[in-house]
Amino acid sequence: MKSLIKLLWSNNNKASIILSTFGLLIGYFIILISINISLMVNNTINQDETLFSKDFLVINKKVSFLNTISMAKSEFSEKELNEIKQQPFVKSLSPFISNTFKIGAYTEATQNIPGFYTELFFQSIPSDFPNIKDKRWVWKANQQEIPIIFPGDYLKLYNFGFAKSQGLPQISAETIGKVSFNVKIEGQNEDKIFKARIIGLTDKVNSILVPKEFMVWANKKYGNPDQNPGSSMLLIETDNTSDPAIFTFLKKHNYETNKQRIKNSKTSVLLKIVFSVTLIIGLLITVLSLLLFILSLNLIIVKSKDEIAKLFQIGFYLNQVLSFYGIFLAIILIIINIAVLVMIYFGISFFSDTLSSAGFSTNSTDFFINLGFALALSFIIYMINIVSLRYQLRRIN
Amino acid sequence: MKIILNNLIPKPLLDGPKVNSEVWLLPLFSFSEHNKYLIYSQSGKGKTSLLSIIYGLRTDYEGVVLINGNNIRELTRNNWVSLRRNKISMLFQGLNLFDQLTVKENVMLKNTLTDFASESNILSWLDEVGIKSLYHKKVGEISYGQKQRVAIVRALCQPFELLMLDEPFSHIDEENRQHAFSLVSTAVEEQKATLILSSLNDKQYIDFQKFRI
Repeated sequence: MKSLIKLLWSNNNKASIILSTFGLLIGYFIILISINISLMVNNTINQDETLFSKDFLVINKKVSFLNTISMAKSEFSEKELNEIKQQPFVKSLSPFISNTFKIGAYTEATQNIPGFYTELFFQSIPSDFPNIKDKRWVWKANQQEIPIIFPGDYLKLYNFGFAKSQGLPQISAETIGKVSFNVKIEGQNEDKIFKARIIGLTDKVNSILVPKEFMVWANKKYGNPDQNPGSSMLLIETDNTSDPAIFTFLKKHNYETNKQRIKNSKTSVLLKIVFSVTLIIGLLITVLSLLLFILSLNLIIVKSKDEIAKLFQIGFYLNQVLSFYGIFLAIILIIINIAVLVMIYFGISFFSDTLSSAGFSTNSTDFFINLGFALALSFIIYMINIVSLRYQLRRIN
Repeated sequence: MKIILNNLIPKPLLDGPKVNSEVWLLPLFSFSEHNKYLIYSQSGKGKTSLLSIIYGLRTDYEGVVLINGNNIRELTRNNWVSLRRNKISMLFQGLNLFDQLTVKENVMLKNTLTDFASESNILSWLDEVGIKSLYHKKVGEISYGQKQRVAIVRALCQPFELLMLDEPFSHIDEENRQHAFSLVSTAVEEQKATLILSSLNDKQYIDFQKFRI
């Protein structure tokens, strides 16, 4: 091997190989970082898609002065519900039910979480709503713990408004899931204390959600029978949230929808375009570097042509010479992989910090996803080079 | 190893003056097993071409060459490598040594492929041809005559049924030529091989069958 290195490698100019290796490294980095950031941003924008699928809308009636002076109802009537159900874009419809009893949430002060008491409201949608995927999203009679889905905006309001102004610790999305608090419900001269646990955050519904079974039970036992728990908000499943027919219908009937969701999807599309362009640039750099790399290797072979011919003449198999270059290529690719994974680690940390300080909760991409992408890319580059090298070597006799 | 030539001639010779040879364009010319042959002529008559064709380095010829009954045109690249490792050894006129490697590295490069000779064997062969002291010297730094002897030792580092030497002693003095020739003859005897040697003239080589090419 030592003799082969002397023969096939040491008398060559290494500058072009080093240059193309560096180019490959940059190309790899751009591809991986754009995939990573794209995944992170997608996760951030759609982080409650683990709870809800993409294709639903929350609609409600526009609140006007008439609502304030109680001349117009904000609840949907049976007739209105039927009309909405019949729209072609509606796959399913679930009305939100509100509580008609008093709810107080409180917790004892601990080291990390300050003690608090607040009055709350709950709303519910059916527990079997097909798009809520968390297994804990269920309540059975006599169950002491109530699962809750909490609006992400409330947490932001607390973290960046209340907590900062009061000097209280900020709470991350992960921490909040670990905290349980007490919920006291009162009505009909009775009260009961439950444990409540936030099982997820959503930016799509501006309401505190509990399972329907709990709400029906509690409204029946503690609720004010004179108060209508009816449906002022509707959850609509649809095939395409950007269907223009939806907006025409909503506008015509003076209904509102969760605009944030639509805004997010627009931002998401825009970001996807930006990241696609970055990805294409990364791919372009990789392809150009790969070409330079192939040319450099070919140049090395051309320069070593006489030595290679002599090796064949004294009894070397083509595959023996090819494997020498294969090992050399594998070493370069291993170096590139290690370097790029380190670069990605620091790049993502930086980006993650930037997102966090802007108020987003982020999940870094799994190391193995990066490793998988890098290895897949390396495999393709390796195979292309081996095919090219074999072709070059076959031309030498 | 039996080699049969049938109307063989390198294409470049067809364009030149009329060929008057005891090898080219004969309907049947054969090198039989365990014999010694001398192919001689002045320069430019195709001695190297003949050996190169038999060794599979040149394919620009007309006619047929059979090695042990097989047409060499039908041999694959890997067939040739196998032949060059196990059946046919050749000392090239240009020697085909690697100047940037030492004498040891040059010989060992071949020997590691065949695992044929021990290092002590190799050292004794180098000693026999008077270049043992150059074992660790770069080939680029020694004389052509010394290089020829390195190439002879390298050619012996494999099993062979046919040994071809292309003007092997052209730059070696008489005393060293005799040592080298004795080394080659012993190896050929031991391996019961066929020897084809090319030279500018037919002086010496008493027990050889001689053909003017």
